[in-house]
Amino acid sequence: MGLVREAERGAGCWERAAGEGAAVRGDSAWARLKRDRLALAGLVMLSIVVAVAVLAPYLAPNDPVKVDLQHRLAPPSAQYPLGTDHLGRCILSRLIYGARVSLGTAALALTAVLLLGLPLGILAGYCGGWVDNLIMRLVDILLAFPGLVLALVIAGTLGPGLLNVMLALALVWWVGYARVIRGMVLAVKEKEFVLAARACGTSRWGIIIRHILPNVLSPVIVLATLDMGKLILAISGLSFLGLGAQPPTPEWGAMLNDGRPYLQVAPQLTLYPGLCIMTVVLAFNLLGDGLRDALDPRLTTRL
Amino acid sequence: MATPVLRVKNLSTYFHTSQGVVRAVEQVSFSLAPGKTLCLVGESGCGKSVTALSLLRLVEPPGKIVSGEVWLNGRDLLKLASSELRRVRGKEVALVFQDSLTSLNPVLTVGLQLAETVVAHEGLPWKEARRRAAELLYRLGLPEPERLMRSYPFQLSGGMRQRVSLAMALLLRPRVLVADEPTTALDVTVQAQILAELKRLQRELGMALLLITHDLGVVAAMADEVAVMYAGSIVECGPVTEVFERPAHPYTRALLRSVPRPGEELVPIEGQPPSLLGLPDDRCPFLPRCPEAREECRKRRPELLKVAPGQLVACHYPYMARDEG
Amino acid sequence: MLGYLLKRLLYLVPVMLGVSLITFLLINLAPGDPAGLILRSGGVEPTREAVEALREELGLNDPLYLQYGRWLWRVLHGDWGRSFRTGRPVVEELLSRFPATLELALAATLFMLCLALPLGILSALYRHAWLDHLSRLGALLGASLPGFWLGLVLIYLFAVKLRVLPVMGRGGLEHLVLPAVTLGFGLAAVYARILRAGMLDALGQDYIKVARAKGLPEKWVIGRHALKNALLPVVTLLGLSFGHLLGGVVIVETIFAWPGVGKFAVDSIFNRDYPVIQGYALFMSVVFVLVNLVVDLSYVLLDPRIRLGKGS
Repeated sequence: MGLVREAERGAGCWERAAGEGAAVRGDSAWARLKRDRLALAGLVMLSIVVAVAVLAPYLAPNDPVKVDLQHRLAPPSAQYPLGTDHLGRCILSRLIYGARVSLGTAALALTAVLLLGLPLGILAGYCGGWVDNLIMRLVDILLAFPGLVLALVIAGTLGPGLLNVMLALALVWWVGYARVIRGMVLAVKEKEFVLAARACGTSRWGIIIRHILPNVLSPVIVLATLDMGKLILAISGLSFLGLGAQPPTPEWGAMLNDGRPYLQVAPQLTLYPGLCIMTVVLAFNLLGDGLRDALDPRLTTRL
Repeated sequence: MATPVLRVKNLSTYFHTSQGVVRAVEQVSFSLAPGKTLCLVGESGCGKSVTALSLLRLVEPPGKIVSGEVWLNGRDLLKLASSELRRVRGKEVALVFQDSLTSLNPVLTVGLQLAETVVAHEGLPWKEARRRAAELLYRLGLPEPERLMRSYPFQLSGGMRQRVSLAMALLLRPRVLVADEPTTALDVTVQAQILAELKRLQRELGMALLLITHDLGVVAAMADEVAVMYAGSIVECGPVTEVFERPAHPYTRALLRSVPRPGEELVPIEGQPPSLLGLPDDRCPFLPRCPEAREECRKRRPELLKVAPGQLVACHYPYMARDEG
Repeated sequence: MLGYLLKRLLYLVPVMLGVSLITFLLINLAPGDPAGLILRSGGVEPTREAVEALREELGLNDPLYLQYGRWLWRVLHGDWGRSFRTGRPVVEELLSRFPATLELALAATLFMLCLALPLGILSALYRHAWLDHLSRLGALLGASLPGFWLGLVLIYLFAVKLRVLPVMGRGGLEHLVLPAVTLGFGLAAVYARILRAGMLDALGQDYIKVARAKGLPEKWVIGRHALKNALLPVVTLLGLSFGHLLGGVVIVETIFAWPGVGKFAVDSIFNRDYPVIQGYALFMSVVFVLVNLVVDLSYVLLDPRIRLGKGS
């Protein structure tokens, strides 16, 4: 019976993935990724965005913060290829520099998240006992705040500014990593090769660095890729509320907010930045999905 | 032999997978007389279950019935409109599966799963349908039918669940019962009880039974006729006494020898069951494992031919007891 | 069942204590001295003596744990402080605005289910057909779409261009449509896929084959046998998603000038109305925890395996 069974799904997959992680890394993963057309599309989109962000000073036709009150809300022209905003600033230049801000802040926030989440997760999983208990209770407490409420409140209390937004997000976002990594460390810890290493007298840190880290790497790569998209959404959302990027920083969420009052007369002010956000997030989602399939072929659930 | 109630002719079911075509059932024919039992035996993966599913067109993609006829009551089930087929399923031909834990829905009560069959086919009110179900459970000798009806499958023991599955199939007094390894997952004692119950019910209802099993003990206890399947095809069939007394196909003989019997040496069958994927068409499928293979076996696939009254064998060199005699 | 409930409630005690501690510490993140902030909220620069006097009065010179104990005691007795801005008790302010937020979140959930249920079921039944591909595309876009942008696009289309729906504020049903769609769309797309996966899983099970073998009408097979099993994982996720809705509601309420707690919180942030910010965080967490409790209980009711005490 059950001739055609759906592949195994569900949350337990990460834990299961941990043990066999080593077997599916390497060339074959890249080969699998290359065959995934959607993931490749995401990769190409991302490469373009990164190139634009890096080369912003050479690509942007104008200074993104230069105000030109003579040409407010101007239509596209040779000088301003996508027109100007309510202060006469070049929309295209602002969008181009916006890629820098969005990718940069998200990457910074993600780094902070990883710096918090990885060690805490490994510590909880590897040490167990009261250390595990303490960390996991903290996780439970942070998870008792819905969605981004806590990040919003922390950012709001610290005061507006991109740095505060990144800090606030890092303080609440590490929780997911700590949980996933703890679970994987627990699974890996009992594997024969770790037990063998311990029996041979390898030190704790030796075991963590040489045996556990490589095994948790591939799920973390997948999670981090998907989270880049989510962080970009969160940062631009908070900026949209006025908590993140402050004028005149060219940030997509803030640009959307700037354009709001002119929705009737100049809808392009809100249209373009939104499209930019969506494209980048979509690219990260496509790539993340592809990476998940490539790094662990058994995890077939994708959107 | 009386007019058969079920007649299967040249049934073939293939699975179209990315690696190629799997011929799970290849040109299978048999017939089933009312009140009689036909046992379909063979190793796991030989196509027994797919044959059972094919009878009621329950094979799911990538599986597909590619040819054949399944005659019941003068109608070919394979050509029936799906609305009519639905009226045959469960009412005229019922199915019992091997694993009652997975074949009962975990989130619905036993009572609902029993009663819904009656409601679906006879349009009775739910209350009436439940009463009928409870009555049958009582007749089957199950304790506390009312409580049983209110319980969920996971609350029952394996034997109890299989009895419920059996009751579910018998509820509408079908003419044909197809039972796919109905007792394999159970303890030996429970197994014997259920087989005895099955036999009693079969007599009471005058029902034909197609019993699928790999257990030759079950065959000996239950069968009137037996059909041995190998690699998707029937290689030998006939009355159980004939086939067991005078097995003519090397595979049947090997199968019989592989059953432990006191005082006799146990001889396992050599080799592995064949992969049904890309099975060559131009030779005997049993060739790689056959101790008596000869030149002809590599050239042509043997057809199912009569060797004795009622006994058919697909072998170029069938073993004849009287040859030795 | 009762034991399970008690266990859950008992487990919540330390979690809620932690939540209260974090909320309490929040105020210490704020730049500047709380006493000075309170006095400055009147608009006049206070004297050093006045600040010091208020610090003493508020107990801000006491050790932190004493302050926390006092604060917790008051919070437990329903005294969440007063808004700097309006002078009214924070609890009152939050409770008076919560129905609007709840209405919006429920409407979004309803919209989400209305879209996700048929889409998920149909894309499982017609796997790899055009509808399935469409819903996959929708899910990818839905997960990538900034909610605030979708809201503005919808406003532009339906309120500015077509002029069929109102843009701002709370009112009749027509006021609810755009905010609910904005809030629910992303989730709907994702849930359609979750349900599809659940349906495919259920449809591959033996009991579905048995249901068909019994000659049940196909709509019973799908609706009764497959759907009930496929919905179970969806129910567990609903609580989590409701939390995301309560979080996401902040932006949607701001865009649509919806008079709920989210917009109130954002306004309070820009007015440095710390008691409200603090109260908002605590309040949302209480609501979220309660919602999840209800969802867990309903899951227990839905799944007999858990209700009747077997399995995890």
